[in-house]
Amino acid sequence: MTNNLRVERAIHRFTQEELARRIGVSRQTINAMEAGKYVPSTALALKLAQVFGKPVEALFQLEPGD
Amino acid sequence: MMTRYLFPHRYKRLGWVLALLGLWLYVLEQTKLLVLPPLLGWLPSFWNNSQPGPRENHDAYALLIIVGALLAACSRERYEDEYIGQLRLEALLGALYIYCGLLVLAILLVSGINFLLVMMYAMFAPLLLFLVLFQLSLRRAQRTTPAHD
Repeated sequence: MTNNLRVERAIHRFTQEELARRIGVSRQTINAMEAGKYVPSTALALKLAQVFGKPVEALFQLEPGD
Repeated sequence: MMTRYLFPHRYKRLGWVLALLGLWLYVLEQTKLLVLPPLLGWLPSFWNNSQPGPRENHDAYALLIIVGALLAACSRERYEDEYIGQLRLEALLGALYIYCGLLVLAILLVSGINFLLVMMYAMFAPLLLFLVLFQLSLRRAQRTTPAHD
């Protein structure tokens, strides 16, 4: 699964710290998601979508192998 | 959520102190650098088939190590979220695999009365392996997160 969290974060000018605080997770979690090392739960994906004001599908995309 | 079964974050430091104290006292006593009076002499043993007498101090050190390591490994992190939960589960699985591997090796290589030593270390190995693997994965996650981004 790929995501464009880093791009969205840059557009909204959030630091990892700020985004982490808004959705109630650690900065390591944001970093791991952006690096593609961690796929968040549905609840966390929905929180991210809410913060960025976009549907979940605009943030996360399935890859052929998924 | 598995966080229901975790201790509050404030117990983590206490856990490290207790575990390291237990380990330190055990090493000091084993190397004869420290001789303490029986610490658990007041505690009766309900199932004992050896010579009657006060308990050995290694019982106290074992309790310190187990309680301390449990608190250190199973206390919430400052930000205990689902990613940290996943790291915790992976460390638990890794510890189980390593423990079983070491146990298989020990069964193949050690026999006789020497196996008692293996059994003694095997009592503590799963908890200590989990603690070490979880701390390593936390450190790795912290190291790969840039200071400012």
